[in-house]
Amino acid sequence: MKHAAVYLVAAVLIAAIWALDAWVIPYSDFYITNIVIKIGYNLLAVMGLALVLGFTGQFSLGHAGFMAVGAYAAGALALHTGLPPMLTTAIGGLAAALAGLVVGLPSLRLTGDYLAVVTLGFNGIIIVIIQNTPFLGGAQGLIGLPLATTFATTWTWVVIGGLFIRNVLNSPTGRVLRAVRDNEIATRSLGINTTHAKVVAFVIGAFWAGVAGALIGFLNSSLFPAQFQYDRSIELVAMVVLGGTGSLSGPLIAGAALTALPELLRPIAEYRMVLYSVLLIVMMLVRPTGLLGSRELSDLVPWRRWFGRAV
Amino acid sequence: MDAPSDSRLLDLQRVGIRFGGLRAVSDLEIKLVPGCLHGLIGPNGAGKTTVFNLITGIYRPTEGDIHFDGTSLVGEAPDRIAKRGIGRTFQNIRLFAGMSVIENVKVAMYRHAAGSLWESVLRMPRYWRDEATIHREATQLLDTFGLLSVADLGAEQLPYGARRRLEIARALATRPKLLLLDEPAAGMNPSEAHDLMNLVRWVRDSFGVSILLIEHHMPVVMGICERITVLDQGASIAEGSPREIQNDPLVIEAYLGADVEARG
Repeated sequence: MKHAAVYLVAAVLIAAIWALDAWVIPYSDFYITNIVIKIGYNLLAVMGLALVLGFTGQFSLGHAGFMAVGAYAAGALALHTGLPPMLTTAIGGLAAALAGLVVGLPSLRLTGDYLAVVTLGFNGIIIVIIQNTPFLGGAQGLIGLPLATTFATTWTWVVIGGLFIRNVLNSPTGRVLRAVRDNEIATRSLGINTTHAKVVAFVIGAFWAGVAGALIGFLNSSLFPAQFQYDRSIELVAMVVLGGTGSLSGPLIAGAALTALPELLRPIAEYRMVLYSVLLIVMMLVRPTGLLGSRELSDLVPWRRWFGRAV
Repeated sequence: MDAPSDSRLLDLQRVGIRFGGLRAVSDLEIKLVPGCLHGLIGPNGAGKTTVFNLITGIYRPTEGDIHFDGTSLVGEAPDRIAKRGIGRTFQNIRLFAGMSVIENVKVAMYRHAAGSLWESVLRMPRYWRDEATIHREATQLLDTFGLLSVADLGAEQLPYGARRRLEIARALATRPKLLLLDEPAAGMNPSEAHDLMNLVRWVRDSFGVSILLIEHHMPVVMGICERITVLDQGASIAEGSPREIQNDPLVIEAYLGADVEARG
């Protein structure tokens, strides 16, 4: 029954989310609700990147590209076919996962800086393709999408995504991913196909980025290619690095903080990239492992024996 | 006496590799009989580690052929070769530093788990069964290597000798037919080296694995190896029992230099 505890918590969380949505959100400040939803979809993107960058050690600078694939696949499908947006959100995730497979298969043979360059290039290519595809709205954007992203839908996805990534991390595959990060040659010497393992991480990370992107479209009722430029990829990398590579809860905390911070500091929001750089430099000097290093929030509190690791 | 070719587990036939103009290894012959504890020795820079990298597919030989268990290994990727049943350790220890001691061993058991990723994500019954089996086997293995008390420590927190043992345990967890040990006693004092060699012999006897071993500590090599291949400047110059090797004039020349009178 110990194994079931975490699902019980997830079920309670989802119930609480829908209760909040029904009884609290209608009376709360629209602006604040919007920020909370923003935090939600950023967390989905961050947890995918935490898997790829933090746990597998693959430096991807194209995560926003996968968000774009998911966003436009889900948006265009909902707009042109009238399928329910939450169904197309899942399909958007699958489209992004497919893109992850196509990009990952050849490029994950590369390591370090080369992979960063290839993924950055992929991000740029996706943007240019969208800008030049009238079907996707081009540079003017895809408008008139159904408004389907709510507090409840977003955070339900966050709970499911968190559970998914946690279960991947605490599995034989999760161990292999961390082994690849720590020493790829040794991992291969154990008879494990490391390229395959990296592609798996990449595809899962891309899926959740795609879901996050789809939620953005249905939140704003519109999509613009400029929303998925490389600066968003870098923002996500900053969240993972600040939160701690090798931790899931660390990047989630950093992701929430870095989403809320520019909103709270509206007057200087344009300088947020400067802020991130300064934060990263300070962090490297003061705490090079990031907020939580390779620990989890659950390691710091005594609940661990009920919830297991990586809550 | 050469063993007949079909009874060889590992057979290197006139293997060579060039890096540009440099001939690192040439005309290398190693015949390893199943169940044998086989030593690979040679002066510094003779190319011993290069031989391991050739066998495990990190380098691809430019000449000759490597047969393992009856088929050629040439051109296979390192993970495919490991899957065929060759485990190894590294001269500069390569543990998974960010993981605990027991996880290091569990990673190596990845291929024994039958369940798919989906079964893990959805936490199906098979996931729990696999994890329980892996945990039990990893615990047993750590116990036999005297590492059970440190199972949950980070691998990088272990003292040097324990890291060497953990690396051997990890390689054994893949259930290899052949184990390649690259200087397992490096950096150890004579008494530690002696203990380690006893461990190596015990591993061979109780796991039924053949072992090819690179080592510098000559007394221990001569003490435990049943056959020895001597490497000098990238070529095998002698192969035989420890006694034969010790009396081989070519080997003595490689280690001590040529006799002044003989040179004239």
